[in-house]
Amino acid sequence: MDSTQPLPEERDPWRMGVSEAFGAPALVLGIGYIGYGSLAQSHGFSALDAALATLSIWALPGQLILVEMQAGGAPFLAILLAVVFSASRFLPMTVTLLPQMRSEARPAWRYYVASQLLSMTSWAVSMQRFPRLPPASRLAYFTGFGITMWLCALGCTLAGYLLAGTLPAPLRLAFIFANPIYFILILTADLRNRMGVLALACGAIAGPALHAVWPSWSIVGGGLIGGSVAFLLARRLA
Amino acid sequence: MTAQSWSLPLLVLACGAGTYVWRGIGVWVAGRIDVTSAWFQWLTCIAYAMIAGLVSRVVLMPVGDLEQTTLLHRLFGVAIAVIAFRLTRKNQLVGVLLGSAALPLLGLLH
Repeated sequence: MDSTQPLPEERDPWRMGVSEAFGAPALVLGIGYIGYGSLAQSHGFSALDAALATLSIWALPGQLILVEMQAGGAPFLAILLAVVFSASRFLPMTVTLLPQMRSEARPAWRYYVASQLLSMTSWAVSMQRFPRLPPASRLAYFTGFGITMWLCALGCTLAGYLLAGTLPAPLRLAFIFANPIYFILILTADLRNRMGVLALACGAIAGPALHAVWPSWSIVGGGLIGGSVAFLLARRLA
Repeated sequence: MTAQSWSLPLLVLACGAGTYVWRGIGVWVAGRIDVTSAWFQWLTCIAYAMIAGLVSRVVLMPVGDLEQTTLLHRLFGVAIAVIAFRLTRKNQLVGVLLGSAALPLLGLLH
């Protein structure tokens, strides 16, 4: 469980990714998707449509927007645009993670396939993990981790669909709160990189600040503003 | 439901394809960016700041079920999680379980 321990070199990276997904990452993700599955059921989605959204969109905020807007009777194009814009975080996430997995010998399509597995969890875990993994092992580790999370989310979508309406309120509260807690722990697990710490701190301030004035653009805008301020500050201090 | 039954799977798949566009562009850009450049550092800062902003927003100004809890209880929950995590040599499971269980418990005790 200790994410700061050095890794034994000889272990199979794919299996290492699978086994590290089980535990806190799968638990927190599973809890989130149980919530999503039960919401989809209560909003009249079929189990098949709910599962299809998990596999194809594979981004919980976007899926929640889809279910809520569809139930609210929003038009096709409005829903599509809202979901797609909510996913813009995948651009900087992919750009920063992919070069660390790249190897000249591998065909490019492998990365286009692997990018479908990317989620906030696999990004945050891999960003911490990769510096202690040999570059050639990273894609296998990421794929093992990502597929495990993807299938776990699929199972929990269906479980949530079946459990809909049976979860008591205190448990639901703990389930929802597990998500931010988990990200706080993995993002602050290793604070040795000054630029990274500054980016986290500036983002943590800019996100809520922007949310108060311009909620629909707070994620992207807060990231742009907080990240740019952190970048400039780190260069000034260096 | 306003959408006809045949159009819901279509909408779901369109949303999946639209989400993938960001991933695909990311892979394309990733192949053309120098990871030692200032541009790359800047993008990394944006990615971290974005996630940190999203997480702190959920703790500081949540919407939905978490709205019924107090800010003080949520901050206590975070503190318990971080302390448990550090005391157990960074065991994520212990941190997540104690921190998230603390929130409804504090609410019941209060």
